[in-house]
Amino acid sequence: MDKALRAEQRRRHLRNYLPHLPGDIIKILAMLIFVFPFYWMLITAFKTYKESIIVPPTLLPYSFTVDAFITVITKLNWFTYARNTIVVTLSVIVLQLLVMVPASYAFSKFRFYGQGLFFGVVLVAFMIPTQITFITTYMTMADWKLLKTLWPQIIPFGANAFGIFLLRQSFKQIPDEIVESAKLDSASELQIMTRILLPMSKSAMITIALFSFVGHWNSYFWPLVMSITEEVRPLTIAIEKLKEIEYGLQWPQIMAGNVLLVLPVVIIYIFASKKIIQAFAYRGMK
Amino acid sequence: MANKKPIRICANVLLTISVLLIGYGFLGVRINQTNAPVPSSAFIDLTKRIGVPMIIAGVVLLVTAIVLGNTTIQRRTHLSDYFPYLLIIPAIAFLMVFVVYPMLDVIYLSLFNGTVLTPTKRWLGTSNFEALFTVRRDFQVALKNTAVYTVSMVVGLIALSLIFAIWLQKDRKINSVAQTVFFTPHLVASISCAFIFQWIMSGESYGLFNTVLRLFGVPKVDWLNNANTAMGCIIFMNLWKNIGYYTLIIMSALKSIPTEIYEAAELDNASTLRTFFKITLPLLSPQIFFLLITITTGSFKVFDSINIMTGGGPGDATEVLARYIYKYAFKLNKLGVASAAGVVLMVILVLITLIDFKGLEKKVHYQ
Amino acid sequence: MKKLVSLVLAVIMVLSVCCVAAMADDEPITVTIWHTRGSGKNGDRILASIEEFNNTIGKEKGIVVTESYQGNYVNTKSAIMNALGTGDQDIIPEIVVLERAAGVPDFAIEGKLVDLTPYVEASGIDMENFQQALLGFSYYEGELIALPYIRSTPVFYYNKTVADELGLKAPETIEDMIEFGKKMTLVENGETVRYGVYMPNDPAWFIANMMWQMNSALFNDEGTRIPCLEDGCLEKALTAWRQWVDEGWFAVPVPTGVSATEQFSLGKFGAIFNSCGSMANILSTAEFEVGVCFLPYWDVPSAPTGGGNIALLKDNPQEYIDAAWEFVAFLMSDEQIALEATKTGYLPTTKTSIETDVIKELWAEHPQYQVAFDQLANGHELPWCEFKADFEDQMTIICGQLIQSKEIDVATAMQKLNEAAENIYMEYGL
Repeated sequence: MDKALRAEQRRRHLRNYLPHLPGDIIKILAMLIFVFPFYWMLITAFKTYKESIIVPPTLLPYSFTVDAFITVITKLNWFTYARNTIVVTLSVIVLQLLVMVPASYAFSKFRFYGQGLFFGVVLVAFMIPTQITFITTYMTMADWKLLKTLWPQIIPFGANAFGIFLLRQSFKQIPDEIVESAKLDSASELQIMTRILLPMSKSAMITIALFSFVGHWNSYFWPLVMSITEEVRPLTIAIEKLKEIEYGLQWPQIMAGNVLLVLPVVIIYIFASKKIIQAFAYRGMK
Repeated sequence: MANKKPIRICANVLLTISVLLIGYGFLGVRINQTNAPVPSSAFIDLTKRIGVPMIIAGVVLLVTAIVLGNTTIQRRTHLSDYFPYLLIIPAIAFLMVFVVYPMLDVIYLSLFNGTVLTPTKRWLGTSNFEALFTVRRDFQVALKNTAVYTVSMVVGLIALSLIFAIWLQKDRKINSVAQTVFFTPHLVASISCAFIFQWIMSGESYGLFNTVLRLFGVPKVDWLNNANTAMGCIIFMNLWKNIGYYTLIIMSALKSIPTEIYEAAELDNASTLRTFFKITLPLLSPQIFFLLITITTGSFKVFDSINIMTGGGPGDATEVLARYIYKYAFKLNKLGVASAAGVVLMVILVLITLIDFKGLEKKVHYQ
Repeated sequence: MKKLVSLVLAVIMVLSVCCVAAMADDEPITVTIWHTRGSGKNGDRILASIEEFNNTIGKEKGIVVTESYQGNYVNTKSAIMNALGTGDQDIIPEIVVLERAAGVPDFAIEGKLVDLTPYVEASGIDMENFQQALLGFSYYEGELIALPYIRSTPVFYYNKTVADELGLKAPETIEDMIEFGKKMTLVENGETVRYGVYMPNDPAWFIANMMWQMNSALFNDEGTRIPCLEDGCLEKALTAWRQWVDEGWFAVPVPTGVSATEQFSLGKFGAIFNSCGSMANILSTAEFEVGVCFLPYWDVPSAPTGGGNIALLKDNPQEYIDAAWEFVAFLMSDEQIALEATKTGYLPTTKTSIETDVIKELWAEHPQYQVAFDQLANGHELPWCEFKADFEDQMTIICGQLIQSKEIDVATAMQKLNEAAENIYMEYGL
């Protein structure tokens, strides 16, 4: 009796699933397409130089070697660069948090004169590319005697216009009554921000933090201009160093460097993705 | 009560004057600081002398305007009404120093023919701007290319993220895996992407694109050397990189739409297309509006990917504004021209954002 | 909250360590060199020079040299300009490596480079000893403002193994090259497996050189006009170039990120116009015998030069400049120049350096290196010209449209070039 029941169940599951099949096949194809460049980067990092340039390229490396990784880590000042990238990225996020939350709170939950003007300043800041601001900011940093430190890669980004904008939208969607009742319970402004608004804006916060993290981890142009000594250079500059102009491109080393650059971010993302999806789901509950 | 309007107008006027004064004072200070060879006249000499006082006057007027303006907003003003200003001071301070000040500086420098070493070598007035739009063909080309790139990215990203978001909406295992996979390109640095895609888009027969073409019996294409396809390749790569991120944003918005609305629509026998356009889209409008601004301004700044993949080529098919500015500032040693191009870029971005804001803010529905 | 505070404190601590490290005590004088030599053989070489100096002369005289890689020539130039703009001597480096034609003039004209004449005399360096062809951008208004450092010249590399099989010898004139290229081209199944010849889209080097070969010039000696536009030579060269590409045996320049030398080593090109700086890499990667010969010439043999010069920046305390000179003098010694030439592919810059055993051995084992050096006898240098960068930029774009994407034909290209020249004359009041 049981067997027949289970067989029937299986058939039903299959029937229910069948309409999904074509869509899923396309999804899997799409995923493969998306993932392919990574795969390419990964296998090239494990090839020897000779194998990396043969034509047509091999999809499965014949020679499996970690030479490229070893060369990259030993030749470049890997740990200094990695330390710099980590310190800069984390510092930026912390600084932005401290600056962004009060500002978004003000723009979303208060009415004050000149609101439009000041928010306009934020919006304008959002738009301006770094190629325009960097020379002047470089001079400012020089005036403040900060050029040989990590600060020029951190301070200019203190006000994250994108973050203020997104967070304001998120705060706006939190009903005013909640804030009112908290005030009636004699909650301080700080408590309102940290105990009420922030927890209810988890998905926005995570979006902003993620964007900021990835953006600064991978930023190349700004550190290039602002870091004039080796001690304060981040990983992205190191990888640029691998590209030798007169000597041809050492693909395995370049790819190994890139793999090492992207690995921490991917790891964090995979671990955090559960939380991210949770956070996004939470928002659905009203 | 009835007196509010004139006070309001007064406050607005004071605010405007204060901003103008601060800008004017800044000009005076800057002329002095840089010993600029500005054509001399009574007006200029006056400006040079009263730079700092003007800034101070401007700030005083600003505070007055704020105090005055606030009386029109609150019933009775308490000191605590000024609390929001405290909240925004850090953000505004950072923005003033690191964004507004450089912007003003760039506008100032665009009026000269200078180099990075001597930014104010020769006074030109608005000649730089005239030249940009008449003689400097390469600027016009860069402008055009940037516009093409931006429009493609905006349309492509918004359309594709909407499609992807709806496609991956249902709570199934394969969908959450797909979400993660589609998001990962965002984590890769532009410079790394460029290295990888160079091989994929290689003009040789073994390049991935050409291999696919070969499967269909189509002859190979020199993707990055062809003026028609080069920009397309850059767009393709940046789409790949960014879709996942924007899909995530839209998906989170989708999840916050209460299912009751969809159920009601079903009861009314609404078709999927109708549901999409009449219900889903309007409810997503805050996010789409936000994406519009983000993607537009982000696309105007494109630099790294082009620098590595095509270097602006072939010819000038992929030359864009950000590269133009950098090239003129350093390679060609013409800071004035670079600054003028920068000003044009800023004006375009401000206009676009204003249009976005005014035009679409009306259409945005907040739940 | 606690975690946040401790994180902030940790960050502050790390940052202050960085600050302290930067303010190291300066008992020995520390001078810095900003350069363009990335990792690999190029970067290793400069690190080795610095280490050797620090352990010998540096120790004696209390000088420590440190280095900072700044990227390619344009990035390095921009970094130096920014640094000079701050006026802060703590930031401004003492020694800089500048591209000889695209970097040196911008700083010389602003008066930022130290006059090395007294130093050169004091150290007993004979300027006559230098390859005269390499001194084009060393003098400005009577002052010696830069010395040749990492200099190169392009040569004609070819696949000698295949050439021997086909019974071909190294081409000398352009006609030779055309025949050579056509014969070296290999087409299989309608696809060109090997192109006869490859030339990059670098008109400032190759087209400029062709103009000298036609007894014309890209810029006249005073740096006020572009003669090759007016005497038809430029048109002749561009017509030929486009024709060769259309005929199918002359390869189209590859996009920015692709390495043409790599393709050559893989046998994709039968011959390649490329800098002698790639010599070491090509010789080690190619699986065939690599032949090197002079650039094929039109009417008269000629060869351009390229690479970086080394200079000292004025905006530094006098004793630092003096100390920096010690390192530059060290680099100008025959031993260092010889080492440079053997480890990389850069040219030996002085006549006496080729007498050293190191160079003799190198040339005995790899005669290809000597070809680059011998070609200097035909060396030509561009004149000082204030609109050089402008016109070269336009040329590169227009040649790209003519040869790479083939959007325009020669007539349109000439029209655009003439238009560009007119605009430039107007802009500079010429």
